[in-house]
Order: sequence, then C-alpha cells, then structure tokens
Amino acid sequence: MTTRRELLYGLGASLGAPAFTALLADEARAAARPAPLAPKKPMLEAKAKACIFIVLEGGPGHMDTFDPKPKLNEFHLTESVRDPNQVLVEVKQKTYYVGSPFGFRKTGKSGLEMCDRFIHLAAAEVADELCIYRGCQAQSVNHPDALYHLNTGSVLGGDPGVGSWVTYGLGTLNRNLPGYVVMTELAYPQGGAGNWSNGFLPAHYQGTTLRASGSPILDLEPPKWKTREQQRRGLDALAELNRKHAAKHPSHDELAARMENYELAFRMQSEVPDIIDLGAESEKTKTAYGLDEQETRAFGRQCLLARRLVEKGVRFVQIFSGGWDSHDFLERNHSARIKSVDKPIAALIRDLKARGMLDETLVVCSGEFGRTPDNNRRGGVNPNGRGHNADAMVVVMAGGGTPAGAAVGATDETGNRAVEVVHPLRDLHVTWLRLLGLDDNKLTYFHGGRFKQLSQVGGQLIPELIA
Amino acid sequence: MTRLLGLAIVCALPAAAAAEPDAARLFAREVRPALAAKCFACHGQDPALTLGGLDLTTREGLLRGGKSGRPGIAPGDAAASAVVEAVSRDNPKLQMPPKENDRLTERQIQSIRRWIDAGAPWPDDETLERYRNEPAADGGVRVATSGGLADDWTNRRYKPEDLWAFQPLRRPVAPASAQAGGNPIDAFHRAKLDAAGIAPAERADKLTLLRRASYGLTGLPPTPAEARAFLEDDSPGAWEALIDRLLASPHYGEQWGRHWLDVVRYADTAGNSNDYERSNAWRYRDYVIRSFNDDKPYDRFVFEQLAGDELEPGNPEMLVATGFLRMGPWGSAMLPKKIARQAYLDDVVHSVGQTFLSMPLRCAKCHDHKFDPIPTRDYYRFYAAFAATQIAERPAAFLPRENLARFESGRRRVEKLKNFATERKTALDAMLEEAARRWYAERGKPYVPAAERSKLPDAEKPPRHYGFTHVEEGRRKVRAQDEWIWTRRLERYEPLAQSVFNGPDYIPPNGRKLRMPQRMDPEWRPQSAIFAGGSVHAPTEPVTPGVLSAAGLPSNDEPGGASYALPAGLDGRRLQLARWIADPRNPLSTRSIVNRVWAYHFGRGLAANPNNFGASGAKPTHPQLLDWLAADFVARGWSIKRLHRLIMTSDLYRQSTEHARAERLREQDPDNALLARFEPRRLAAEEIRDSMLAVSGELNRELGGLPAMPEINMEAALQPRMIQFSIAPAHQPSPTPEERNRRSIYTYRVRGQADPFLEVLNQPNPNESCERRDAAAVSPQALTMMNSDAATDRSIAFALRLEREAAALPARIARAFLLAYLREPDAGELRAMLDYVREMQAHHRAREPEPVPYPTRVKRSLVEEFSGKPFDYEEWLPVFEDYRPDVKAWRVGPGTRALADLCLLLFNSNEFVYVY
Repeated sequence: MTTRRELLYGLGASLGAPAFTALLADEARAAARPAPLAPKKPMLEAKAKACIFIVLEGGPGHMDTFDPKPKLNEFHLTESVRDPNQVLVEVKQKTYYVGSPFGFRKTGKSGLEMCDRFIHLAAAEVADELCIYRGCQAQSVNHPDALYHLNTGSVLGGDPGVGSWVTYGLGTLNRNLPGYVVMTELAYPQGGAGNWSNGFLPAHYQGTTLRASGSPILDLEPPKWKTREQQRRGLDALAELNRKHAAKHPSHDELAARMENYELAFRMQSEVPDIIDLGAESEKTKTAYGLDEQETRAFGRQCLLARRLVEKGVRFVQIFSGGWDSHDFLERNHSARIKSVDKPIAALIRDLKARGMLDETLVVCSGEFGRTPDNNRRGGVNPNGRGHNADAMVVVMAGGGTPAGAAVGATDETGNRAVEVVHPLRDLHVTWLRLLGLDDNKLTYFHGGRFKQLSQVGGQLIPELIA
Repeated sequence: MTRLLGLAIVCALPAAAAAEPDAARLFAREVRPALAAKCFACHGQDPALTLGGLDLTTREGLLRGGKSGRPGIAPGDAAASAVVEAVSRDNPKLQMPPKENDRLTERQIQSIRRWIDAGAPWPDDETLERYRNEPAADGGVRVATSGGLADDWTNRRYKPEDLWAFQPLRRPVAPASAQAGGNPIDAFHRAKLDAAGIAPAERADKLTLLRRASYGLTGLPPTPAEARAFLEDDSPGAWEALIDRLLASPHYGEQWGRHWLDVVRYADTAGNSNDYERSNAWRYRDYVIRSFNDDKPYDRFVFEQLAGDELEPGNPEMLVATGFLRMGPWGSAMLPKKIARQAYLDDVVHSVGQTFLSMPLRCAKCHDHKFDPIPTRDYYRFYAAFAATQIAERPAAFLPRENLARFESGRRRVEKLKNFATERKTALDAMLEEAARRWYAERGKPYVPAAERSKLPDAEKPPRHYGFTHVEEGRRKVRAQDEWIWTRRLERYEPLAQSVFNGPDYIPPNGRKLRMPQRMDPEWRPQSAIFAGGSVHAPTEPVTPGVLSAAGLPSNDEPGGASYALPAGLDGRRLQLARWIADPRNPLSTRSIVNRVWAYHFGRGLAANPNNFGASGAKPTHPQLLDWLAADFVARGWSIKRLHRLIMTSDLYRQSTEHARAERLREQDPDNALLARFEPRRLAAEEIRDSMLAVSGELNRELGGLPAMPEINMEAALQPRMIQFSIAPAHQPSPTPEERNRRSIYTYRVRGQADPFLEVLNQPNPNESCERRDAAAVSPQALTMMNSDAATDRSIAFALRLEREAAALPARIARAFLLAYLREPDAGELRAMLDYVREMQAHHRAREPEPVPYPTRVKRSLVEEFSGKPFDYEEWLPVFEDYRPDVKAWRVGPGTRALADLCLLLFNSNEFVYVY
C-alpha cells in the first residue's frame, strides 16, 4: 500500500510546504488514536476473511429451488388446511397445494438436489462446493420486517447490518475503499437503506452503496468542470485553514480526524473508479459472469465486482437481486429469476476457487423467508404461486469454512416447516460471525442501556454448517 | 454489615452443619437471585427450552446435571463443581452465561463457591421467603411493584444507586456558595470541582459565547450585525438580553422542536412496506415548534400529546397534538391483523416510556425487566392504557396560526401526476379488455365482462393478463399504485390530522386510508392480558390499565391496591396516564425533561442517557444538581424557557472549551464528567445546511407549512426503491429556490429515502428514537461537502452575495470570513486566500462548464414479479418543466466560480462546522 507520505510526494509541487507539514502533524496525531476501521485481529480462529452476501429479495420458493417436495406435486390443487397458529398472511379464501413447476435432479458427486432450471450451479465442480441449509426459520412474513431481520438481526429496522457488525469486528483491509459495500440489481429493496445502515454503531460502519450507473458512490467526483489538481489545491488550502484553527483549539481531538477524512476521501476518488472499471478483466471472465447476455448482465456485473472488491480487501459485500416474490405465475417468475442469477453465482464460485479465495470468502445466498406450499385463488384463476412462509426457507452457502457438498437440515413433506436441524435466523447469524472469526457474544456494543449484539439475545452455533 | 456477614460464613465453614443456616441464607439472598437472573431463562424456567438438558431451578436438577452427565455441583467442593467452572469462565470450552457481558460479578461467584463448599443447602420455599424478607445486610433494597412473573423477580434486591431515578424528587439545598447570590447551578458544579481539586475553565470570549448561544437556541449562526451589536454592548445585562432575544426568536422553536422530533421519531411517511405518506404530519411538527415558541408548560405539553383528544375533544389543535401517538413506523401490509395491532401498541408503549419517563419499556415485553423494577405485568398494564387507542386521520380544521401557503399550486401538481397515472392505467385496462373480447371471439363464445368472469372456471375465460406482455403487466401495476399514491397525497391539502380515537379494534386492509369507522360498538371494551413471551397468541393473566408501580406514585386517590390503576372504561385511560406522567411528584418524567434540556446545551446529560434512566443507563454525574433543577423546574411552572435562562446565565455554561491546565485535566477527568470546561460540538446535519443557506443569503426564514422539497442529489432522487408491487415515485423538488431553501426541519422526511446530504452528516434514522446526535467523521462526508450539487450551489450563491456586497477581491474575501466566521482574516490568511482564488481563476478560465439539464421524463426499471423479468416505464417529472433552479456554475463567469471555490473551503472548514 502506498503510504500517505509517498502519495503526497507523488503530487509534487501542488502541495505547499506549510500544508504538508500540517498534514504530517495531523497524521501523527491521528495515529495516536486507534482508527475505527483499522484491521483488527479476529477474536477466534477465522475460516473466512470476507463475506459476499447475496439476498434474493421477495423470498424464493425453497421447494422450487433447492428443497424438492415430490409430495406437493401429488397434492397439486387439492385443498390445504392451514394451522391457525402458524404465523401466515391472513387469507380468507380456501387454499390449495401448489406443486413445483420444476423438475429436480441430483448434482455433482455430492448429489445435492436442485431444480433443473439451475444449469451452471448444477455443474459438478460448482455444486460440490455448495452447502444447502434447509432448517432455518425466520420470524416475520412481511417483506421489510423480514428483510431487516435477515440483514440486521432485528425486525424493527434500526439495527446495524450484518456487514456493519463484521466491519466493526474486523475493520477493513483497505482504507481507500469502503469496508462494507452494497449493490442492488435495480431497485432498493423494501425497507431501503435500513437494510445496510450502521444503526447504533458509529457511522464508520455504514454500508456504502456502489451504484451500477452514474457516480458509483454518491458525490464521489467533483463537478466535471473541476479537475483533480484543482481539488488537490483546494484540500491543501483547506488544510491550512484547519491547521490555524486547530492551533487555537488544542484540546479538541476531533479536528484531526475530520481533516484526515478529506485525505481519505481524496484517495477513494482514485481507487473506486479503478475497481469498477472492468477493462482489466478478460473477455473470458466477463462472459463467464454473463456480462454478454441481457438476462444476466446486471447481476453478473455485481458478482464480478464483488470478487474484485473482496480481492482488494473489502470485508463485506452485499448484493440484492429483486423480484422473487412469486404470489402468481411462479413458473414464469422463477424461470427468469433463476436464469438471472444462476450463471453469475456459479461464475463467482468458480472464480473465487480458481484464485484460491473461496476458502477465505464466505458466500451466502438467501431470501428473507421461504414460501408456503399452498396458495389461494388469485385474480380469479387457480393458484399458480405461493405465499410468504417464515417457518421454512433455504439458505445456500459456499466457501468460507462451510462444508462443501453438504445438505443440512430438512423441511416436512410439503415444505411447510423446517423439521431437522431447525434453527432461528439468529443462530445462522452467529454461525456466519463465527466463520469470520467473531464471537457474537463478544461482538457487542453498548447502546440504549445494554450491550447489543447481532443475534439480539444471543444464539447458538450451528455446528453442521462448519466444515 | 457486609463484612460481618461474610466473616460469619467464613468462620463457620469448617463445620458444614453449623454453617447450614448461614449458607441457606446466602443461597436465598445471593445465590438463587444470581442464578435466577442469569441462568434460569435457559436452564429450567421454560420447560420447552432447557438447554443442554440442565435444570438449575431445583437442587435435584443441579445434582443431576445435563446431557454431559456431569453433575452441576459437587456439594462441599466448589472447586470440583461444573457450575463454578462455568461461571468463573476459566475454561474456554465452558463459559456461562454465553454472553461475556452477562458474566456474574466476582461477588456472585464467591457466593456460589461458599454456598457449595458449605454443602449447597436448598431450604424450602417458606424458609427462602423468610430469609429474603430479612432486612438487607448489604444495602440491597427490594422494590414494591405490581409483581413479577416469578417470585424471585418480585423479591429481588436492587443496588440503591441503580434506583436513583425512581427515588422521590426532593429539592436539595444548594451548597453554601450559592447563598452568596450566584446561580445555584454554579454552586453545585463548583462544589464537585472543588472536591476534586480542579479549577473551572476561564470564561469564553464574547464572540464564542454569542455563537454558542445562537446555535444552542436557534440552530443558526449570528449575522455580522448581530455580532457587532453584541460585541459593542458593554452593559451589565448584555448577556441576559441576548438570551432573551434568542428565546423570543421564532427560530428557537424550530431548533428545540427538532430536538423533540428526534426523540419522537418524526417523519412524513410511515415506513414499512409501502412507506405511505402521512400527509398531514407536518401539522404535528408545527405544533411542536409552536409549543416551544409559546413556552407551553411542559406538563401541558405532555397532556396534549398523550390525550389531547380526550382533554378538549372539540379543539382541532389537540387532535394535531396527538400526532405524537402516530410517529412510529407502522404498516399492516401482509401482516395478520393482531400482529399489526400489537406492533403499533408495543411501539407506543416503548415510545411513551422512553420519551417521557426515560425508561425504555420494550425490555419488559417478554420477561420481567432484567435490571429495572419493571415487571412484565406493568408493561401490559401500560399497554392496556392504550388498548382502546386507534389510529386514524381525523378531520381537524386548520388553525389561524398554521401556514397554508402553496396549497393551490401543490394540489394542481399532485392532480396532474394522478391524472397521468390514471390515463395510462385506463388505457392498459382497455387493452386488456380488448384482448379478452378477442379471446371470446376466437372461440366463438359470447363475451363476458370482467366483473362477471372471476367465478368462472379457468377454462371458460381468458388467462389472467391475457394480451399483455410482461412489460405491460409491470406498467399496469406501477400506474395503479401511482394512481392511488397521488390520490392519497391529495390529503396534504385537506384539514386532517394524523391522530387517534378511542374505539374498537379496527385495521383497514393495507392501512392505506385510516378513518374512524362511522359506526362503532359502544359496548366494546378492550380485553387486556399479559402475553406470554410477548406473543399475541399467548394471552395469560388478564390485566387492567395501570402505571409503573415502581415509581411509587399513585395514579389516583383510591386507597389500597387500585392506586396504580387507570380508568378501565373506553375513554380516560390516556388522560389519567398523562396526569400521572405530568404529576409534579413523578420522579421519572420531571428528571427526564430537565436532563434532556441540559444534554442539548452541554452535549451530554447530567445522566448521560436521556432515553434511559434505568440501571443500565449512565448514572448522573451531578445527581444533586439534577434533582434541584427538576424540583425548581416544576415549582416554577414547568417553563422550559426559564430553564434555558437559568442554565445559560450560569458561569458553567460560559466556560471556555480550553482549560488552563489541559494536560492535567485530561488525566484527572478524561471524559470531562465534572465539566471543568465546555465541550465543543460539531453542528448537526440540519444546522450545517441551514448555516450554509444563511451565510449564502439564500435561507427563506418562513415558518411552518407543507414540507419543503429541497433539491437532493439527483441520483438519489431517482434511485428506484421497492414498495409493495411497485417502486415509489421519484423525489421531485419544489419548483422555486424560495420553496426549496427553507430550514431543514421543514424538509420532507421520508423514512425510505433520506436526503443524502443530511444523512451523511449523521441525521438519525427516524425509526429509532435519538437521544443524542452522532457526529462521527466519515469520508463520505468530505465527498458530499466538497462535491455535491448542494454544496456547489450554496458556494455559488455565497460568491454572488460577496460580489454584490463588496467590490475588490480582498474585500470580498474579508466579507466571506466575516459572514462565515464572524471575524476578519488575518494577513496570512488573506494572502493565502488571494493566491488560492487567483489560481482558481486561471483554472476556471481554461474550462467552461457544460450545462446539465433537468430531466422531465425518466426511464425507471424494476423486476416485474409476475414474469421475473426487468421492465421499464416512463416517469414524468413535471416540476422540471417550469423549474427555477438555483444559480448554476454555467450561469456565472470564471471569477465567480473561483470565488465560489473559496466559499466551498469555508463551508468545509472546521471553524465553520464546530461550535465552541
């Protein structure tokens, strides 16, 4: 990494001597305090150094993707009886079972079953890296609450994102990039930026959205009619003003930190455009991620960016794929949605593996909840989609110390409820943290009168998910 | 006493039998309460959740141990006991409780060891009870409450210092020096400092004090004229006169209203799935501002917000005031009705506790409070106080004092957008029906209209969405959502208030339109019960409305057990609760408000967690001062303005931020808990934006009214964000600079779409109550302050102002310093800035900015859920058809742009954004 001193010298004459001295003085002062984002040693032996967390917003049908339910096809369009105590969206009409429109088959040496619309993930060398967890249970059947729960550990939408906790616990390996990056395929998910906010943690740990078009980070660049040299000169003049000011307020420690951030921001301006410039990637790589195809281009680009970011030391990358909420026309919806993610995710796993990064990168893919095995008639026609279901879902993981080629847990015969290796979502959070070398019970922050943690009340490890 | 007890046990150890009664007592008083607090929840209390098969609630369970087969204790041998091993946390593989922060105290661990060494006697319940009731040897006190779910909780003892906020409010006598005529605040403050051997900081200079007071009371910088007037005023009452002038400014209410809105979580939308607009929420915002400006007695302020509708049913302002009860995020989409209702009530209970009592109540929803004397029973009694409270938009005539400007132009704009959506939806519907006709015709069947088709079997009617491509399917949904979004936004111009009424449970589907039902069952009464584990599906013991029993303040005059009860009829529950909260003797609410006011002046409360006076909140640094202030506040009519005067006329408030012996102070009092110097603060997000507008001369100081729509970062404004079935309409700014450049408290606050400028400067997320602003410095702040259009626009406006107000460049620079810093540049600064501006002039002459047009039509995309494929549609932004932008870079010459670069530096400088 270029040191700040080198960087400053590299700018040559643009920097006046007094400002330069002042900056170094600030640097010395800043160094005396532990920087909030400085890399920290994991609390425990870490399997993974970074995490790529893919959220399939809307909640894919687990029985239509990674959790085959042949019984459902037998029951197709027969009336279902719902348990009045199960927390489900209230439906006044009769409900009917809906068989999955897709076929299933075993894949790879491990024989993991997945729906036949997955072509690339089904390739043996990819499938055998996956860990499919079918025992998880969420809590809310409402999209924003459930998304908040998945992404922050709390349904209330004010708590720090998983990525915020991870960067709080581990710091970042590259201070010229945000430690926690978020990308959305198109729209922000329901609940918006609350899904990646720093909550009560200091603002250093907030997720930064990396935008697909326009300025990758809001306000990253000065207006087009200002040059970088101009801005450098401005920062030097600003530093001089601030230096004089600081001399009058020697007790005020924050001043140096605020000045330091202007330099960091300046460095970010040069590093971020490099990251998003895919020119250095081979055509083969771009094709592998599906960048040449309309259906996979947007999501593929984000998967490729995720790999580049992790490679550069970013701790936590989150990608949102939208539109999985199939109350109707499940076959059409999931065919198209699966197509949009299948190739990019497979390419990501292969790419990480080829670069020797998969062992150290935890890849997670999950919706905010699973779906019901049944549905009511909608729009005057026989049911062809599914409702929201928090009692069963599927979470697919790869790398980062998860067992390769493993299916963990199970749901009942219709996929209505998890019945084996059943764990609440918080246990999954605890497990992810553990893979990253963090102990949920120790990764706490005092706020509002108590020590808070990602799992809210403490949780249990899911040992089956650790290789 | 403590030592004596410990000694007795130690001496008795060799003879186990003789030790029995003492060890049993130790068990009753210390061991069992520790186990109950830290272990029972997972080990025995709930049979469904006996982790590791280990039950610690009985001696048998302990002796048996868990799945591992190892007994929990070895009576007589603490060192060999698994429980001791676990709680002492020496073995990394066996550490309990799991959470580090829950670890038992050394004293608790010692007690457990001693008890086991003494044979681990476990007396019967009667004996346990007798031991528990003995007077405390260790000073631990019991608190009488309505009772916990378990006796252990009911009987547990608290450290007296943890109960400070529950103690009756008494007015302490100010230390002697106050009798000499000084401010009692200084007497309390100096007594503490003297005891620590620390001298207070010198008084700050006049300019610093002026800036401190102006920002503190109004959130705005003083003008150069105000500064000159104050600096030249040598009269003995100059400071007091300044405070009076600032308190009389209408901007005072805006600044202190903002603090209150932080606590109550103000926003103009509801959050959750749809982020529905609360189109009249601004009336509550203005009510809060008026209340502060009017110096409404705080007890009255409490009454109005909690029960205005019951207090004066015919007064529209009182309905507006109950907007407090509508501030939390809420939505009912896809939620079972009971759950949605519970979510509302849980939110209100927690919010009322936190806001008025500084006692967050959420912790007691599922179990008796872990640290504070708040039983779950009280939670549900409090919950019952709101069980008849229903949310609605209610008719409330506009008040003469309300600002109704721009209703007509706004309504026209909303109607245009509604019509745009309707036209497109109608056209798509017609297309669909045309396809249906075709379908019937192709099959030689008679056409059946849409409304009559729904019951027909699938084979006898066209498939759903027959004739649509996936793009049309998607657009139909977007237009239908837009149609009612804009229809609903027409309510902005209706005399409605986001309010409540008392009546039977009702939740209209989807929460779109909340109206009082026409007919309500007059016999309906809420049935309230304790929900086991917080589950609405598990009601257990019935409860009636009541207040927090631990506060020791009866809620009515009835003798005996009913003294903490509230009326159980349909009406009057909230009103009586408000009376209890606003009772001069209420120990929590009186300390709460005084502490909040203090915290905003000094950056930290006397008790550092203004939302939490419980055991886990910070203890007051100056408890006597806090009590004195609270008692005085109540005795003098709950006047907040009076409290400001008292605080601001103290020597303490006027201290410098620098201390003569800074290094020594850093060692002696690193957190500045004794307040030997004033704590500087970075301006809040809104203060930074408002100051930039004020200094650039653009600030429109109009008061109140419909939310102003500022120009926010265009990419953020157009960023698609999901709501149910669709994406929310893009943010469109107000059409003229005057409308946009209002104070930030008036800007449109959308839960799902923060203004990135304010958000990056730590404006809090309105879903959680904010007791104190974060000011963490992060690099995106620098990007926004240097590069954003907002910062650029302000700097150009500032430059144009300088050009209007001064002729030559040096005079312009001097003027810039005066407006931004209230001082002249020194010779070095002037020279440096002259060099800088001249260099920038050269740069700007070499580069002419290209105009950036505002789009009037934008393409937006999302993934359509019927097809799983992305589609796009056109959104109309009519505001940009007749938009008056701020002056942009391409409208001014290189000289102005270079001067604007200087202005931008000043805005970014520490001298501008910190107040000392």
